[in-house]
Amino acid sequence: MPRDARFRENIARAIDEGEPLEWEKLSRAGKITAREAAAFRTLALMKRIHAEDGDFLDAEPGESVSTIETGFEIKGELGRGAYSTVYGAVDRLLGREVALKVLDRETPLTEQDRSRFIREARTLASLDHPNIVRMLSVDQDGEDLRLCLEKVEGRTLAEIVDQEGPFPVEEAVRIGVSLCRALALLHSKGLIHRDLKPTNVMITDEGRVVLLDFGLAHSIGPADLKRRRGMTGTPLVMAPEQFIPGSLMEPRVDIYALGVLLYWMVSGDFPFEANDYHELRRKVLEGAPVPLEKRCAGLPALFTDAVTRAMSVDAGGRFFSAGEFEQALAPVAGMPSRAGRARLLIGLAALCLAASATILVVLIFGKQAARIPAVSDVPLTEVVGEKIIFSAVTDDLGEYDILSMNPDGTGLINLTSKYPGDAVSPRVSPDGTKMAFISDSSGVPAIYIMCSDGTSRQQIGSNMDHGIPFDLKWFDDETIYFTNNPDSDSAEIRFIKIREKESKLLLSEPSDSDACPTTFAFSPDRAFMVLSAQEGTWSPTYDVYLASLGLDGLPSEVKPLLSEGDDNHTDHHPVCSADGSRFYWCRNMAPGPASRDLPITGRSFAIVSRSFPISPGAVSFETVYQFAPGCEVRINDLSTDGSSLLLTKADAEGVGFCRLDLETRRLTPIYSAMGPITGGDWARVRLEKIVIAAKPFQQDESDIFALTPGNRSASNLTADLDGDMGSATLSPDGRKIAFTRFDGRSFQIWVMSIAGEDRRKLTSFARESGCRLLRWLDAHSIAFSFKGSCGSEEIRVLDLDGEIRFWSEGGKVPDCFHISMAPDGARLAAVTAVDPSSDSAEAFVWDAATGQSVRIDSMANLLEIEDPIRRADAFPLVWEPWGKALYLTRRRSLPEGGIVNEIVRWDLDAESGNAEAAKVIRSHQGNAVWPCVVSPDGESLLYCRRIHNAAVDLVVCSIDGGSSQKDFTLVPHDWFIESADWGIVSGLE
Amino acid sequence: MVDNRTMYPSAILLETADLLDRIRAGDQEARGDLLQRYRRQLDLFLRARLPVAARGLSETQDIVQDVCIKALPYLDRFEYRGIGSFWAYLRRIALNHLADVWRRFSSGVTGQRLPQETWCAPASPDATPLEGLLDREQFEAFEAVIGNLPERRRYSLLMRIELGLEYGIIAKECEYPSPDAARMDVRRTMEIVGREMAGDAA
Repeated sequence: MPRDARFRENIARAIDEGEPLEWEKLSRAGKITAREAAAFRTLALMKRIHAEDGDFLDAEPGESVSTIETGFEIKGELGRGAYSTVYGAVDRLLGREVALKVLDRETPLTEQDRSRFIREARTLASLDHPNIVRMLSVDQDGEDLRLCLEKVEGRTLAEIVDQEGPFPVEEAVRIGVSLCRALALLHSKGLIHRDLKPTNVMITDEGRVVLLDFGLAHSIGPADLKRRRGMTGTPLVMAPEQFIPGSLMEPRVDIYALGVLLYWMVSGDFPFEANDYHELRRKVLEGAPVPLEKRCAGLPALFTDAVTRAMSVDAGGRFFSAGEFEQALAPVAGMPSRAGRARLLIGLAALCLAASATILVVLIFGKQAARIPAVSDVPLTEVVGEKIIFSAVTDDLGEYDILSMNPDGTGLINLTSKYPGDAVSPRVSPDGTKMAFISDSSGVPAIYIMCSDGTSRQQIGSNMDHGIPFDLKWFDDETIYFTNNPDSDSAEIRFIKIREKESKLLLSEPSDSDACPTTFAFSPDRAFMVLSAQEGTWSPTYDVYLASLGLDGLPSEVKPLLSEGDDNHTDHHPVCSADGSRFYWCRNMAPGPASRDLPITGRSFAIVSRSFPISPGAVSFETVYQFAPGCEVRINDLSTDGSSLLLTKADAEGVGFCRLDLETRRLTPIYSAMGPITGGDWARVRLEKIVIAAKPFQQDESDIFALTPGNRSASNLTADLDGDMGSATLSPDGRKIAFTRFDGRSFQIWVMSIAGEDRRKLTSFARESGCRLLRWLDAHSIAFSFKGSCGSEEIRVLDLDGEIRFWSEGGKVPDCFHISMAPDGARLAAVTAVDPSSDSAEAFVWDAATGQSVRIDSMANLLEIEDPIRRADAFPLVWEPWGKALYLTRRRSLPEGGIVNEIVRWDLDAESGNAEAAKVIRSHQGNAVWPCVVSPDGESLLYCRRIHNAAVDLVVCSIDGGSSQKDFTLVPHDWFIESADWGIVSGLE
Repeated sequence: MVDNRTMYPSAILLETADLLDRIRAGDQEARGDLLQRYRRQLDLFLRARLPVAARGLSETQDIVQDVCIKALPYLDRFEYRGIGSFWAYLRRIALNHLADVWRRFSSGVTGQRLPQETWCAPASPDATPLEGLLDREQFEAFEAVIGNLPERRRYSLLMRIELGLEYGIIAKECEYPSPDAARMDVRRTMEIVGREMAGDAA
């Protein structure tokens, strides 16, 4: 019998015989995992509860002992090193997942070692770099030393190469450049990593490169151990000097290791072939690696030269710094190094303004930018509504951020202040809930999306695949079209679905010409695309093409619409009128042949338009507005009411936005920028919000939290309100939250703003009644249920002025377990048990107007999802936003044994109300899943998923039934989720 | 008056089958007698699972009474397959009733005070009884895992852990060839349940 099996058998015997066991010690000794210790301990305690007098169950809470991992809940072991163990854990106070590195007690440390360890850890904690795992805290509790680190989800380089083989050189370079940046920061703080190896570099699903494990244990290892081992590090990536005891360690050991790492990434082999340690040591000290070209033919010489230099035996022959290494690597993949990045963004800006304006931009670059409040500093209600979204330089570093302001130029907010790098060319999705933009924060320009309040930022697509994007538009809420430079000599239009990784080519050279598409615009019905194309990327001559789009969004026909010839040229960014009958563009009229070098004063700009459809041969267009010479103009967008154009105007006085009224032809300044600006999207901005009533693990009381889909950061809206909050329910405009509060004496119904302000109590009930909010019926009234005097469920409607009335005639509703009110406010979905001990139940829909009910589903184990300990009753029946379908959980037995739990969707027949075939959305073998709420667009489902160690995750998934790999866990699974609602915060319209 | 807590439960639980027969024969008193025999274990079962806040709202004894009232009308139809099956039936009613308690007080009792903080506390011999209390999630995991066990294993485990029955009775009730066979299987089941609760099952 295996040793661990025998060990568990002994545990079972001890439990059965009531022998005390020291669970933590068993776990720490590695005999069983922490999760197993918790599970076996539960069995032991359950037996004790039933075997002994149960009086101890009544002991007051709050007397519990603090544990070795005070403040953390250990979820399991992530890894084990020579002197330490790393656990996956949850910081109970902050509710976030962390990695907890605990030094083994057996490690003999002197006081000097401890001081040094803590000092270095503190230095690391002060580092904030996207490519370095974040050190959150370090503390000492008696003999125990712990590091609390950011938990990084992803795969190590070792895992990736093991699963997928060596990296393409461009990808290896991208990773190498990121690591150079991380090392540069480390070295600048006087730290040396010393153990850069494939298992210490993680790549997240979003492509973020993260350097892990700083070799602290090595640096603090007891002196005798150091002498015995004579070295620190992993031999295969160690620099020669690391093999020589007593050698001075300096930052260039990390440069060497990065060279080895790059060698291994592209070849899959380490540079030295050796049968044992001594042979390896000899070859490393001799500097005789297998030439990289031999292992991997066809690599760029720039790359092999850089790797070879990094791996010089003599430290003096290597790159002097990580920054120098980065500069040598970056050009291999066409990447800008740190020094070259500013030039790239200037280039991006140049694509947004015409050539001469770029000169102007450069001239005013560096001007002190105004202080702009970050989005976190303003109420959420100021984020939504009719806004102009653009990007501008906002700090002394010259980095571009995405800004939002009202159409009158007031209410300026910085949406991306907390992120590094530049963010340009923002575009709001048609539904107003998210923005797409281009950013280089990962090292190269790539397309990102984020929620309207700057949260849930994520890169879409892979950023090395198809060049540099420079202009983008939303085709629909899921698809982005963008212009792209695959290389310096060509341009194309591609599109990408935001849930997919790869973009696809839409068109490169319109109408068999050699023109390069630069900017484009859709007709409002998405039947046409107007695109502007250059004859070569740096040609001043632009032509306009019209592409007919099929229902799939792909161009079925592309034909030339307008050629300006050599004398004049149309500028970027054509715009279609709101009714699709006209399009506008900016015409740049030069006195002679247009030239990029022509001074700004030599040209004049005009806004012109022409109508759709364009009859064959028609060339006429109408001048809408003629600007004076010396003033450069770009069209950004049409106002949301279609009455005006949003223009960027640059002249000797500066750059800013202005509004051109298309009827009166009047030009009104909106905003004068303090620095360069790009983009300009005039949109109705809305904000998706999920509100939950929940009790985080460490709290005694439940509160109302608001968060955005795709973002794990939840803000507590009722932290200052005593008692338990529940039933968080969003008003139709998303600007108010109704919720219940229990203060120990009575149940109350409250309402507050989405920002947690303007709270007021509407009514209260005796404690015995309980109450749960069902749904806002309109902007002023909320339906709620409570336990009536006969024990049955009753439903009432509460107005915001505190008045209460019956919901249905006579206030009668069926007696049932779970109630969920349909979006129309006229029907209920409910579950009733067949008998009190049965797992069998029926789900039905009850129409208040007719009193008729229609059975939806009948099954065994429907009540299993009740989860008596964890949840109340808010979740099992969930309506989709239009009241045409219901989501519920059912269980079924598998032929081969076991149970599968499924969230199924029942579509309701529009006329009969009968349910049609169920479609499985998510299934989970063994453990339960149950639905919580459907997103306002009906595309996503928030659901609870019981995970293996008994905890429950709150997860967002796509309802198309696709892979659960893309599911997103919203809050830590040690939160008690009482209710959830998902809505859209809209502006006052 | 005999204090049930001083009695080993097997003596009174062995009468379960007889009492059910009497109930089917129309003996109304037998209903109360039968439930009385399980009252102590029901009380412990519920008290361990009710958060303190809910205990304050409704005395556990009242909840035990509610569970018994819910069970009463169905006793004459219960298909008896041993003590384990009857206890599984009662604890299912209790779990469903707990859900109802939660629903009734849903807004008010989420501030439950089961000491989850003791998740990884050492089981020190000096620890107060409270330190030995359970995490609610472990209760859930236990229910989820035993729901997937074969019936005999589920009943025998519950009879050992929650009813404290001797292996001789478990062997007889669950048709094991011997008490030792029952002991081996129950302990094996404990291993399986522990591993599956921890998510480590193969």
